[in-house]
Amino acid sequence: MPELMKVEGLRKTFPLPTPAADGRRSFVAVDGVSFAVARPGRTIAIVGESGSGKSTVARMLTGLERPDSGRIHFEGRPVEPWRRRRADRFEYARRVQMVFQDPYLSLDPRLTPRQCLDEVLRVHGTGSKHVRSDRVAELGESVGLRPELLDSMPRQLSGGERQRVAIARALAVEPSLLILDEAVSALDVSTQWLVLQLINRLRRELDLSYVFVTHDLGVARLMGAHVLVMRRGLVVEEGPSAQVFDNPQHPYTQLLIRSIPGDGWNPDAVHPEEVTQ
Amino acid sequence: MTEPLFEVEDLTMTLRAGHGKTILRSVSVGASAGEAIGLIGESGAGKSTTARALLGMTPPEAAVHGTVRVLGTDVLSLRRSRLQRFRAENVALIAQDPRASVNPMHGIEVFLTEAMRANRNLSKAEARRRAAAALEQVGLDPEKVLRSYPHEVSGGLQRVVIAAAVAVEPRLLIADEPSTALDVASQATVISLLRRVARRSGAGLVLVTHNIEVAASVCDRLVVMRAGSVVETGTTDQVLRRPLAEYTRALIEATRAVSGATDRDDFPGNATESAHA
Repeated sequence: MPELMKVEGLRKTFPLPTPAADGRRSFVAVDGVSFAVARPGRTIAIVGESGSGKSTVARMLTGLERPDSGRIHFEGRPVEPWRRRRADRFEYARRVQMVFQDPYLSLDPRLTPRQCLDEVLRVHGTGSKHVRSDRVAELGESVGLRPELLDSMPRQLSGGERQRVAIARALAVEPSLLILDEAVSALDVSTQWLVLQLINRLRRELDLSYVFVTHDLGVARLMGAHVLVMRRGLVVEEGPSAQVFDNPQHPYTQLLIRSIPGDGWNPDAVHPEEVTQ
Repeated sequence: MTEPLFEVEDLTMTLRAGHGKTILRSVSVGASAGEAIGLIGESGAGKSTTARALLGMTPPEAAVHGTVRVLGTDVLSLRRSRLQRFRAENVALIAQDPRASVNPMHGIEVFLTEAMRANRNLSKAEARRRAAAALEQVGLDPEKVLRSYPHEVSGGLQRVVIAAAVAVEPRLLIADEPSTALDVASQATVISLLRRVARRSGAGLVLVTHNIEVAASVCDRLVVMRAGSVVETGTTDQVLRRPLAEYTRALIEATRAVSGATDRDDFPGNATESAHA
């Protein structure tokens, strides 16, 4: 059976508005990234600091950016999600959905969660009004949104509640793969934990796969069975989560791990200046 | 008994607009000279509002009750000009986003010396000498950085802000989420630096943070806040090892779960099954 998603040699450069000090006119954001999501239910975490290229990877996977080169295969077929043809985009969007970082920006402020979810179902041609209404209630319940909140405006919802709506919206079309781009980074610690538990529950119940993009190593360790560590457009280390975190090989990964505030954490032991590779 | 550094007593703030929301509810916090206190909580907890009250800053639209004494001075009743002088001589603030603290149009030398020259009547040469010493304390090359503009020290800008804070030799340093806007590795550097400069200068420190582990690595005592109230106060060890409040326990659990400090067998990152290629 082919992999659910296979990504080979993705590369993306952006033109610089003014040439850099060394005369370069473009910036290599992603420099040849490859990975695969073997089958439904598998999870990948891409972790890196700002400027590492992780979000650009996420955006290419959903067609928000067009790579300079590289290939994406979905269920064995080559796909080009950045193509603008409506039919292609529709079909792909049914299978691959994205959840963004900022739940304050990603929801239409004028639509209640009920209207927002109903719109997605209607656009994708899901049944009668009655069927859609049942489905909306079901979606709300599956992401743990109190039923009365379905009829409030986004501004009345907390960050965690909004992110639940955003996840419900992504799940409405029953995708097989979610791309989560810093999906819990804007949330408070305890809300973050609740949303991570929710995503994990949905993964198990729906056999859902995801690519979880995050700057937070703790989140990556928890959420990805397989972890890619990115730095300056390159994958510097990858492997099973336990291997990457318990026995990191690259000095940069080691640095990041020492940087996670934990019990008995010593910030003096973190020396970014020593990692030059 | 050492001299009290500050005493916040029964501080309550209620917004006049709207429904008269209470943003602080009978908050009492104190510290003695040289102590490091962590104000911990999630958004809306009132931790920043409490910290800013120590600077005599209260939201203009709030009705304020209670007293805030810093070094014996009732800062909430000071007139504007006297408050400014009191702050300049005794208290320094390090805010979350260094780019918001530094004027991008002026060089670092101006940024570091202008407060000293205005408030302490120092000569240009003396102010420059002190600025250079402060930059050395935070591990930056004074000759290079004094001649730079903010955008040229982007990675080390928060260090420059810390240098500006210690250059005026305050009795109290207030750091409001000083590492939250930074990359993980720089976060550790800033926290480590803050700890060092506070200890070396003997200044008291108020660290506002949502991360209890970060606070624990720096502070002698922790104050846990939620929705405008103090939930729990105690020595760092007490609060971390033997939390009294249910909320503190939940916060510690969420922090540790997300930072990967506790094993969660039900999450993909801890699954024992071999990962996929």
